[in-house]
Amino acid sequence: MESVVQSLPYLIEAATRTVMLSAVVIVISTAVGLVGGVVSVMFGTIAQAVVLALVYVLRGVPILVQLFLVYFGLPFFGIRVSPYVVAVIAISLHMGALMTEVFRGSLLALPRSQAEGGLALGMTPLMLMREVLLPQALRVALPPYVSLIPVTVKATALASVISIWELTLASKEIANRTLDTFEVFGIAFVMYFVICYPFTWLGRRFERKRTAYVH
Amino acid sequence: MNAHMRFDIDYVIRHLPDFGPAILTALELLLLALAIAFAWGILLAIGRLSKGPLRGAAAAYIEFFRNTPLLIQLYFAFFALPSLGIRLDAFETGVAALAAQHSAFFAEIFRGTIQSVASGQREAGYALGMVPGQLMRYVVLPQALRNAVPAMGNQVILLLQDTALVSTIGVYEITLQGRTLAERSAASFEMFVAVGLIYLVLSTIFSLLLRVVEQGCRIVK
Repeated sequence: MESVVQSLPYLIEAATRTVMLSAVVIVISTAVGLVGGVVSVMFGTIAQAVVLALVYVLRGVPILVQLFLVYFGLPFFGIRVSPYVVAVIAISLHMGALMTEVFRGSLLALPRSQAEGGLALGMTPLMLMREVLLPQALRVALPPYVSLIPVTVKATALASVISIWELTLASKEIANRTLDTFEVFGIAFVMYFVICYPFTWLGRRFERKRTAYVH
Repeated sequence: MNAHMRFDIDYVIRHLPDFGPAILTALELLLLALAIAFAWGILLAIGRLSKGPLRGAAAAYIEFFRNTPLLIQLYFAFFALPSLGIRLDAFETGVAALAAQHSAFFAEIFRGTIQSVASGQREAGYALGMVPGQLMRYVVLPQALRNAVPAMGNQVILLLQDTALVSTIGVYEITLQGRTLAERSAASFEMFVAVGLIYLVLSTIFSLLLRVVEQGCRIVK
């Protein structure tokens, strides 16, 4: 029990690393998802096919395998980066694919008349996207987007496999050293829960609000 | 090392048969965890929708497993369960952890489809003199489970991907087989391209199979 108190600062530090890694991944994968979603609806059949194929591959391969693919793949092409960058790239690609689907879906959910009206007013496709379609689509995308945040946080646990020091690796190390397995993992579970649950709750609330509005 | 940028496909092809048993292990993990998660998910959903003290317990279980990573649950099961006197080998630990987590997601799916069974169905059941248990078994669940099939299909693909995590506790499934072969050679990248392709093929096969099941389960065809 004593050692648990001693290791608490390490676990708190590790939890902040998890939050930071998640934040970086969310920012990058949101950008990836926005670009993927917009490109797939804006630039014709070939762009759509390319985006959908990429999404299919990135979704169909486990994140853990993608981590190893990037880990060994970048050096194969002569690119050397730190394991942290490997983790950020691999998890962001996978989450980016999931977010592409969210944004694409929300853009496709808009009535056709929105695009037709904008074009009739003489807007360029880019203006139409920026001023008319995206603002509405983002509102539709909000519930599933928020629900992807806890998924991202949980995915960062996999970075521990390529020895990124975050909450999962820290608790495994401390549990193995102190043998306080229950206490250490228990604290880590609570920390993950505290990080993830607000977004799970919020996502569900948004979802309910929207369905209440639709019906 | 002049192997740089040379894609060593020979090594991969030579070792492709090694993946046979690994794929079978992954499928065993998948099917066992799926069966347990399915049954346990139904019970959790019913508990979650009940009025008694089980409601809170089921809700706590579901929220805990939905909001913590599978990987750390797996480590916990692997390191902590033995000190409780529960002795499982790595494979069994993997099945237990996969089932424990995915049952929470199945429960949420079933909860949604149980709630969406039309209230007229329940009223008709009661009018026929059914007790609540009969109503659930013969009227609500058959419809709720059919309506859950599309969402369950998605979850099965996620479960297939999550079997990769069991490699971290030493079960020789596809990912660990790939890691072992990758470490033994200079063709690490090539090996993981093959591993990725194996998962892609498997999830494609499962998607197609699930689409057939979906067609067969439609109430209105």
